[in-house]
Amino acid sequence: MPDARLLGLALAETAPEERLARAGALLEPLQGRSEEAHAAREALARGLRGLVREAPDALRPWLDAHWAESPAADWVCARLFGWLGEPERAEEAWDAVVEREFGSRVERHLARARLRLDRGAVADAAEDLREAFRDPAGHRDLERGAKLLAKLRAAGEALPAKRRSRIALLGGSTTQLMRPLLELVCFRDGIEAEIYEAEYGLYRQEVLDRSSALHRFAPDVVLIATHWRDAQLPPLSEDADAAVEGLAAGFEALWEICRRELRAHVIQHNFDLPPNDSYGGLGKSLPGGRARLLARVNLELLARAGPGVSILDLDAVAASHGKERWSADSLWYLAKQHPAPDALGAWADAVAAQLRALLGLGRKVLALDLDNTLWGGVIGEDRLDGIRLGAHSPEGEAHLDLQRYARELRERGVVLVVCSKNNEADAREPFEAHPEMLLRLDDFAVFRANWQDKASNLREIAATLGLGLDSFVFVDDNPTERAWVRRALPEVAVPEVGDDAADYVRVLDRGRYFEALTLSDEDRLRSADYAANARRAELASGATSMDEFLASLEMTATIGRFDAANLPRITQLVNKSNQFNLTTRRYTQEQLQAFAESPRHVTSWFRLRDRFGDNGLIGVMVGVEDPEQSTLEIDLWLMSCRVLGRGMEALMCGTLLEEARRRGLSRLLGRYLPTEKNAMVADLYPRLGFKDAGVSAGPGETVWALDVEGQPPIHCPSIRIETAGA
Amino acid sequence: MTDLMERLQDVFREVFDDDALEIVDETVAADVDEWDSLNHVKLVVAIEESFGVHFANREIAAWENVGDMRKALAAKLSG
Repeated sequence: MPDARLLGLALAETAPEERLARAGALLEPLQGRSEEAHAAREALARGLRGLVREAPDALRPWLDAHWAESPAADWVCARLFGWLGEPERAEEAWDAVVEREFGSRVERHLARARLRLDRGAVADAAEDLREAFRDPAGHRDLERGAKLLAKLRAAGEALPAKRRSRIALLGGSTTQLMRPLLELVCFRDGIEAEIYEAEYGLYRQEVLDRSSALHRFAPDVVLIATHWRDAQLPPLSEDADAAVEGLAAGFEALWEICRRELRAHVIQHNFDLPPNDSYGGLGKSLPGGRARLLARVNLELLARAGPGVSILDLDAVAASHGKERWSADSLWYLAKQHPAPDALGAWADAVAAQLRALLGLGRKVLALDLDNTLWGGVIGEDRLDGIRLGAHSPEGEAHLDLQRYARELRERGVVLVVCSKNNEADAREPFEAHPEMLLRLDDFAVFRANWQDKASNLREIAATLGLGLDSFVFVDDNPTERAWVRRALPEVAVPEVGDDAADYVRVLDRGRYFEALTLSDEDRLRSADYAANARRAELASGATSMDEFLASLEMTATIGRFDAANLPRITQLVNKSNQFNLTTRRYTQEQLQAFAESPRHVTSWFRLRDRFGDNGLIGVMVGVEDPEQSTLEIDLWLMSCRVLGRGMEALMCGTLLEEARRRGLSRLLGRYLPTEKNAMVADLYPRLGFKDAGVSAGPGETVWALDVEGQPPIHCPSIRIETAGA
Repeated sequence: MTDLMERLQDVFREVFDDDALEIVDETVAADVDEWDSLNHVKLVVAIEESFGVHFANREIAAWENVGDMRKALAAKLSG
């Protein structure tokens, strides 16, 4: 293949006709999908760019002749149409390139996004921008993406987002290169971020000064982006304990203000250990050595970070990126930039993972292919003794490691499912009979092996589980299957794991899909829950009536007020429940804590267990009293869909009705705020006997009222009630 | 316009977010809206990343106009 730079030179100095003739002949060898072929195509396009001014009349017929000839020709033509000022033809050429998924993903989608934006198609441009960054990208590309995002936002149309968040970025070093990347990764992950950027180095003052711009901004999240220089430690400290205590206590004091006064969640960088140390190994081995103290402070920060504070492991991000490439000292001297721009993508991904976890956007399901993914070879052809799995081959060890990783994920609450093209009996055989198999059939909530296309299978699996496809991660060694699912189901995360089993775990891990801030008992129970649900479904098909079925479940509900022990789980539910959620209002843990302390608010959580197991904390309600109107309005009502149809809805409503009665209020008010996902509860209030309150409301929004006087208590005979602490 | 100058101009257009921006050797910071010290750093980073080169702060400090940048870049690329 022609070298990109030589190619540019060869074309630059010749007469227009000669240049075009040579370029036409060069298109054929540039059909490859490698990065070199991509660079060469770009060089070829640039080599012809001068003709846009010098000889457009010679260029146009050349484009007409070559366009649609091959993907490589489309690519070169798309570039040249753009430079020629022919946006419609350029977009048509990019459409063809995108359709074939040819060349650099970032380039083709960014180029088309710009054209779409120019003609006012903001939503289409946004879709391209999101597609452009489905895979990890370098700093230059991220920065270009961020620029385009700024233009999209300036166009004034609301961009699609699942969550909104006000984020304060308080840097120890300058944050001007961090901010655009943070905005872009948030957009990519469905978070509309409004970012406040403090002057670098002023993070303490901003927090401590109650009249600062930070306090006026009222953030949901405060990101304290410090690094090793901010610790200001000498290479050797006399009193090691005092140094550790002083640093940790200083940050803890800032967190407290952010949590209590700003009611914001804090993301705190830990300290990256500096790459250079004049004391060498002594920095770690001496009790007062700087590297040792920073490592101790990092542990101390973790120990002190309670609810509402999460630690971003900057040192691990640095190590993963590579300590040698982590710092760009010349940029530190020039502009107080740290880390190196090249490392900012990894940093932004780490922040985004915490934000996703915080906002309930973490993924929950790992869908696994079988052949050449969970084992080497094809079970339908190689048979049980022919597949490679386990310690007998290097290939088999790698597949076994993926199984181990998947099982560990399952233990912490990730739901595993199988999505494979196979005869079902073949697919099950290794699980039943292969001695090296680590995963068992009952590790999977759904096992789907058939000859349907995988997108349809994933859609059905999602319906069976009652979970959205946006909570799925799909791992498959086959690039065609990955491409198909990526295209058909853009909301599913499909890491480019390649086809070497040795890479699967690393690529999957790097996606940080399952990042969580806490691990609750409910998380650990979740996988077992889905299996138990399948058994409940069997029982339901045997019972002759619904009441009989519900009675046979032997359900007990526990009801309590918001308390410290349950607040993390309540916060988690409030921020991730989409379907059974009447108002979809999102609150931070601090805000929910404030409700618990307020006499005007009624706060309740609900647990449900039955003879198959404990479903955990599955429902949350918040009511607000209005003494003047003599009403109790349901501000928040959500429930986990896995207990739908068991009578919990009535029980929960009845609880608030009795509370309204106890407070001597005359009406219980309910509000339905429609979203894309909560249509299932649109008529919940009328079903429970509420009447239209006759209150004017926003589009699609409805307000309902239930008179307390004369209203008999709402019973749910199949559920026994316990009161927490009673 | 040479290929190098054209690519350099593309980087300028991207950093300053202006598709109509035209640069020549004589262009100085005062000629370009928003070419302040903040954006100067972004410009340096963008040039380094786009062309795969690195400039010492001593070299950056010596630049007085676009021509100086172009010459420094050309020297790196041919060296």
